[in-house]
Amino acid sequence: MIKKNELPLLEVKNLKKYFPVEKGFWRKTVGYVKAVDKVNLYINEGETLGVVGESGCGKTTLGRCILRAIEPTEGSILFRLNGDMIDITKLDRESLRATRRYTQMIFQDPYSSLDSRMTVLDIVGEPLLVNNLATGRKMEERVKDLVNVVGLNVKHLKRYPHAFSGGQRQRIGIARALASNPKFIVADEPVSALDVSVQAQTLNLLQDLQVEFKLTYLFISHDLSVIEHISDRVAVMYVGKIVELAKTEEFFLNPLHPYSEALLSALPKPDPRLRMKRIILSGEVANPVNPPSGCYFHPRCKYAEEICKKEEPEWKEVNPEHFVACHFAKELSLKGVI
Amino acid sequence: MKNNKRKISAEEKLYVATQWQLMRRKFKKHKLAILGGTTLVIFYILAIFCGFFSPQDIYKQHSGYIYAPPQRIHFFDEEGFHLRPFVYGLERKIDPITFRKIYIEDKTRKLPIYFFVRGDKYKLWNLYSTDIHFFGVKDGPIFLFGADKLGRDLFSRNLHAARISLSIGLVGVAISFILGCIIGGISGYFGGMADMVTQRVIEFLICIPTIPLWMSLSAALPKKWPPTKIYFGIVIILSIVGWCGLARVVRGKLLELREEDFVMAAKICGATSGRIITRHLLPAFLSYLIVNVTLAIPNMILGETSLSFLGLGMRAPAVSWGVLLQDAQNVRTLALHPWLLIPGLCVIITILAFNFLGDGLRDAADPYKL
Repeated sequence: MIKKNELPLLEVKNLKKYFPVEKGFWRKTVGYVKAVDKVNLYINEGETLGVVGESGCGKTTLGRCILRAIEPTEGSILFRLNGDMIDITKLDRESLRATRRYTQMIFQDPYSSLDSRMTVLDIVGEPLLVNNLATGRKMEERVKDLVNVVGLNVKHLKRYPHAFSGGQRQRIGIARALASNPKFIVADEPVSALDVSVQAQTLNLLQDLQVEFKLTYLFISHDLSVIEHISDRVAVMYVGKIVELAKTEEFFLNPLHPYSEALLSALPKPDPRLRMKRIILSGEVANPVNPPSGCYFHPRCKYAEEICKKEEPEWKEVNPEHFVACHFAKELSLKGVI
Repeated sequence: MKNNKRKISAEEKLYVATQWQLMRRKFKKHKLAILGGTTLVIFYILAIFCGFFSPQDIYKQHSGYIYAPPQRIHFFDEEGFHLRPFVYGLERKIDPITFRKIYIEDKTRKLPIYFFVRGDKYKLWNLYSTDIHFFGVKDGPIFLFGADKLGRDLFSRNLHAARISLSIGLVGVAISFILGCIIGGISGYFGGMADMVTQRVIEFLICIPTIPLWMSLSAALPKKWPPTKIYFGIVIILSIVGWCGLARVVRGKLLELREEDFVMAAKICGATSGRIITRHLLPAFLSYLIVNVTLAIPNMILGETSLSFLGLGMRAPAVSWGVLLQDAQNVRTLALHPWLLIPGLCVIITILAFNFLGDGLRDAADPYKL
């Protein structure tokens, strides 16, 4: 694995995405939904960073902001291209369009993510066509290769998406994401709409492709067991912020944030004799329009003290390559998964 | 291998079917819509070739046939069945008690109906001068829908009226369609202030009661204008309100589609806005537009009919269904000459047919919905 002091493939610095809340006849902005708030992370080439969190915590928004599918409010996204780090947030429209082929996305919903009015050939070929990579015969050849790679039948190129099952549609989506030879792929809950057996197939396919094409993934999921299976490192999000970032093994064995501990305790264990106490979080997920003071997690945290209500915890590297935002990261000894 | 190929073909056909093929499949299952569509096709063909299909000139006054009732088509006489249909000549008599003119069938005068018969001269689409009519009798007029107060053939007049009434719907909707697409497109695509303003304007326009608005606007059309100018004046008046509904549909659909994942996927892989609009957005909402256009036409037709009925739309000598219905404005006519209401029946059938067709199209519009 590449060390941190070498240049990562992607580095996100202080990324923010605030959605304005408008009210009244004149649509006055009365507040902001802080969907992504001061996020810092880096991803090395060839690794998979898993992002995990409850629904509504901003995982998807983070993924979309990184690709600039939606415009981030603030912050910078550095992407390594031909040895240089370019800031994606500062690109103008044309150069952004030109760099789009290096970053791709796999969507959660295999139904709405494919245009039902286009054939498989057109869908998978679109990235080739719009980036002037191949046309006509050449495009068809390339699409055939891609379809083969993701394990679909080459004879079905002329079919429309409605002819395929959810798992097959997801494979079409993966083939489309691979078409332009990207380096970095945001996989936004790519398996959560599939049933378990198909989930496993798709995950294995993604892993095989990663080795074959030297891909780097930002893998978004709410399912810790999926994350454990596929990621090299894990980032935990809570109400728009990343609260913990660590190597997968380290994270599962030795979580440093109380929220991570609660998440891990909810993971089902295959051994019935192991009766771990589940930590049931009280209260609701904080409202991102009106988050609590200090540490966002303090109203639900059983270790919370006075300082948690007042001060926002600092984002610091507690152990090597183990970042956490908690006042008591060093004091607490939290339970992971044995 | 060969055998296998033949077996999958039916299923494969469904899998490789385009959006429009799937829509046709679904549409065909809607029997009422097929009925409505067929009715409309027949009506429009009759209206387009109205000169050819009408047996008489619409302005020719047959003084002997004032308020003549519709003649019945017979296949049987005292001798039995005839393959060639015929009508009996009408004989006018005076009712000895009420002194009203009454018409009775003169069984001695049998008028067989011929096809492609020569009759009054007319110009088809103002281009070809001819005197061949689709059907007619050799001597004397034929009144399938009866005659009006001047002895003019109502069947022919109805066909000519259909030309104006049916086409006004299409032209009006075409104008509304263009306006609706542009304004709705701007509203949906740019959003923000532009969206706000257009939506408020549309809400305001929809609030105005249509009949008084149309009345005041059409009262402003100069009396001296020729029928063609009046025609386009009426179309524009009807479209003023007509575009609002379409603009809303376009905007709503755009807002909905903009959020779809496949649009984002196209954006992420580097497609330009132009490509996204033409390749992804337009095909997706074109079918909805067609449905809404189909459902908007009846309003136009009804609008024109009511305006003309009130004497503010098309005026004689031009004929439209509304103009023809002016003759049926009092109870006396309704009681004595109910055939003057036939244009009203035509309007009802047309509107129903459009609604059935629109219904079927709406069901077929999104073939991917389960």
